[in-house]
Amino acid sequence: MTEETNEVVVQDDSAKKKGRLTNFFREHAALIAWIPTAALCLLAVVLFLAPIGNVVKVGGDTLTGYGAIVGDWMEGLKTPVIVMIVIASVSVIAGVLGVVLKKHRNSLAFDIAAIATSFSAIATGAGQIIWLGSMSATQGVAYQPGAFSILAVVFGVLFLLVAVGETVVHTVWIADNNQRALWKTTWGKWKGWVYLLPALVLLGIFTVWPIINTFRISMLEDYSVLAAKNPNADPFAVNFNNFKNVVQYSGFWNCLLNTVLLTVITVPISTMLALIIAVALNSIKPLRRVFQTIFFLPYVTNTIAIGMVFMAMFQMIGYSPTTEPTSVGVINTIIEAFGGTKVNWVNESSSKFANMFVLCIYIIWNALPFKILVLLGGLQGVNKQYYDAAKVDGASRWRIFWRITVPLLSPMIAYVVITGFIGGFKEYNSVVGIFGTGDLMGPPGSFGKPLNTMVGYIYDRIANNQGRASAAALILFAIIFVVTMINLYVSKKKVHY
Amino acid sequence: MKVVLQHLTKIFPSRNKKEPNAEVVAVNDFNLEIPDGKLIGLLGPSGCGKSTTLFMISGLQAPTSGRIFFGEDDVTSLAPENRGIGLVFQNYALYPHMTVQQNILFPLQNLKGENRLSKEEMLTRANEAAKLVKIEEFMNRKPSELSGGQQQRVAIARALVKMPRVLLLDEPLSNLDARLRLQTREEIRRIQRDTQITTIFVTHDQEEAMSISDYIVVMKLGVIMQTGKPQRVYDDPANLFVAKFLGTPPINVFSGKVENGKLYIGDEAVLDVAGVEDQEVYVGIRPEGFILEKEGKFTCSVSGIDVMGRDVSVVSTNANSLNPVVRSIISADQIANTAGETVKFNLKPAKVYIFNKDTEDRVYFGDQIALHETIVAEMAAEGQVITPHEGPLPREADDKVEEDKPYETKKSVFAKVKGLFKKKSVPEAVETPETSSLETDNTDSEVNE
Repeated sequence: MTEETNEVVVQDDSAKKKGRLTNFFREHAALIAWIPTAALCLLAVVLFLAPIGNVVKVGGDTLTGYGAIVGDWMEGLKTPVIVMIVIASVSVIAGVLGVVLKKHRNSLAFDIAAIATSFSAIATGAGQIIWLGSMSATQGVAYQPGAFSILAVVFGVLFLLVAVGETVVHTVWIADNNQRALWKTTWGKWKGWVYLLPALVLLGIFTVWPIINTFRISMLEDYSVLAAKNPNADPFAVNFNNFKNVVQYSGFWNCLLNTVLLTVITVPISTMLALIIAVALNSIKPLRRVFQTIFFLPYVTNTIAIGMVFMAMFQMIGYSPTTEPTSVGVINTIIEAFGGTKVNWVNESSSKFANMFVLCIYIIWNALPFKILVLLGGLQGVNKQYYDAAKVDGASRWRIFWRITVPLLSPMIAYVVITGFIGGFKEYNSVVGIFGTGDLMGPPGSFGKPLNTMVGYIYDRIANNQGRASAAALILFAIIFVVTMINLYVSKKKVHY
Repeated sequence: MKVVLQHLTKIFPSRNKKEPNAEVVAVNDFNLEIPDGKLIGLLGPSGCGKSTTLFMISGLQAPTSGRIFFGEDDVTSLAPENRGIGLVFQNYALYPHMTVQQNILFPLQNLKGENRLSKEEMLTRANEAAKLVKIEEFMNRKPSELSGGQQQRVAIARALVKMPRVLLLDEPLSNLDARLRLQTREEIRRIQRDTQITTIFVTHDQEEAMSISDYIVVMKLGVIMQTGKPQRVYDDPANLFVAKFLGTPPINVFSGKVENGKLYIGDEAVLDVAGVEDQEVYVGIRPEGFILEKEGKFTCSVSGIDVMGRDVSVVSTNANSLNPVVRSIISADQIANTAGETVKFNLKPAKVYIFNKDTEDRVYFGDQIALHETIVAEMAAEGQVITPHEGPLPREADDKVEEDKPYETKKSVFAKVKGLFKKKSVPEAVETPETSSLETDNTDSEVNE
């Protein structure tokens, strides 16, 4: 007996002890593994029928998705679909046979399942490519297959190799225990990575690469996609000029100031208010759910829509040209009802202070629901006995709040503050929501986007100078990073986990 | 500080609006006078209202009716912080974010006005309290860094530091392991003796209550069943419930009858009970009330002998027993008499209690009458007159609470001992069933490769 077989026996024993359900899954693992496989086959067919995300070039025009295949798609579809269905069916049958052949049923069945899946993937992609080829041939136009199909083929081939390799190991080399053990150990080391590959590739493409690319682009002076595509343009200089230009631009400092102001003002106030509301909600029984719903409403409503409502509320003059200019906003109406004079909150030539005031109120109100939710959840997890004990110990309500509630809630508070700061530095849509279009970023008639924020600045640069946009994004990232580090450092000292 | 509870009643209203009558009477007309400086154990099965009583004394729950006095002060409507109580919760409720010292200081920091102490005084007081419960070396630790017993002592220190008039402990030992429990209850006893603070503690463990209390109060369904010194209550139970609740192993209960001054269990006249009227009765016999004799009047069939540490008990069965087995503790030299299918016992009259079958109240006979009178007089002398509960007491049959598990027999030990004396090999027959079932499982599963 080799070590390998010993190991297998040990595993079997442990599985036996785990009980019926585990045993059931173990016994029928192969069959269960076929459920996702069959689903994948089906998905492959569906994906083929609907090449969403595929970009096809018809002549000079670029068509996307369904638009690309409208026409005599039925004609072009016939052959590849039949081919694919045949291949998928064959692989399914092969897999089922693998299950029926009981000898090495678990491992082999998995292998065959993998082969079948790979075939499906290849079939999807290849079918697409073949079909486009046939379309090109019949219509005399060059159709280019989309990335989707190519990816499907690449992954399909990769998996096919893996699965075939394992199947060979399981069947052909099975007689020689030593060789098998050697293969198993080597293969076992890398198997996990191979199976992880698709996820890693996707992560790499959609998460890691954009970040690296941001760094790269920020170093290329005045990088822009259009210029990059132009073969006649000079290559971009590699230096820190993007950062320099961003920092030297006066509008940038205004954006930074606005962002910092909004964050520093709204985060503490909204956290405080959320804490008070959460404690109040937690201490009432009747109507708690009603209030919970009311407080949570902003969270499920569209920011821009609410921003427009706020704009209307703080409006000074009605839009209608037929009426006399008068106060129509609710806020000004209330102020006048109490004998005050109306304030120009958001209209033309309103002061920046008034604008910021409205923005802060809006952001605070918008940030409350999530914070209340988190803090209320934390409060409900606090053992009621602490309050009983504190009551017996003669603590006043105020002291109970500061000495018991706040420390016990401190992890939640820290979470809310940290996410609040991060969210605050990324503030943008609230300004758009209240002050209308993204081109204005200020009260009507203003110039130079007086209320623009960091994200707004980045957004503005994206259109024609991705280099500076990347630099600004990295500056924002650095600021958020430093602030979060400070937050974490403080919470380490003040938070009781 | 003397604590007086007068007609204390707590009714929890029905939660279900459709059944407004489904209210729960947790504490029912509770009358008790707790003498100054004593340790009182409130004892009863779960759901008997003992914790509710404690929380009413603490002020965390308001009584539905009745009054609570500390000394001469009526504290019924006072808030907990104004009553001058210290309360130790079942799971201690130490503030997890404060150190031990901060926990102990917390009640002192809450004091206001003229009661407010200077910082130095606070620290001194906290250190004194910590010293009393022997936790001075842990002052800078967090509660999570302490063992259960240490946490318990911190909780007591926190309760003691403001020098309460009354100390209340809610199941103080239930979260501790067996060894620590023994140690901690001695500790509680010592602290109580040192401080002389009137202490009320709640427990469902009769052994715990009996070992440290000056007085115990046995409760059932919100009603006091009996109060008194632990040993007195054990020796002189007022009714079947108390008799069954106190004592390990539990009392053996039989159904029997009194006829012509004789007590019958089944057909056997087991004891002379002259002067008792003829009636159907429950007979309670303490395990130590049996004398193993060849010519005994009471016959049981032996099912085994159980050696539990120093005790040797004969486990037998009797058709009239209400318990699954009859357990009698005998001296070790009498073991030889148990050879054979049946054993015969004589009974010690002082350890046999008879209870009327309808009311489940005690029927006294013989010397027991005199003992009972002595105890009543003793109680009266100590000011322990308890106004009897109006109306019938809840009977055993009313008890919806799950019965305690029957005293467990350890099969292997008892089979071995039985085998020794019968000179037959029994132990081999005993097989654990788990292994065999595993064997059958193996047969249908095939070996992988």
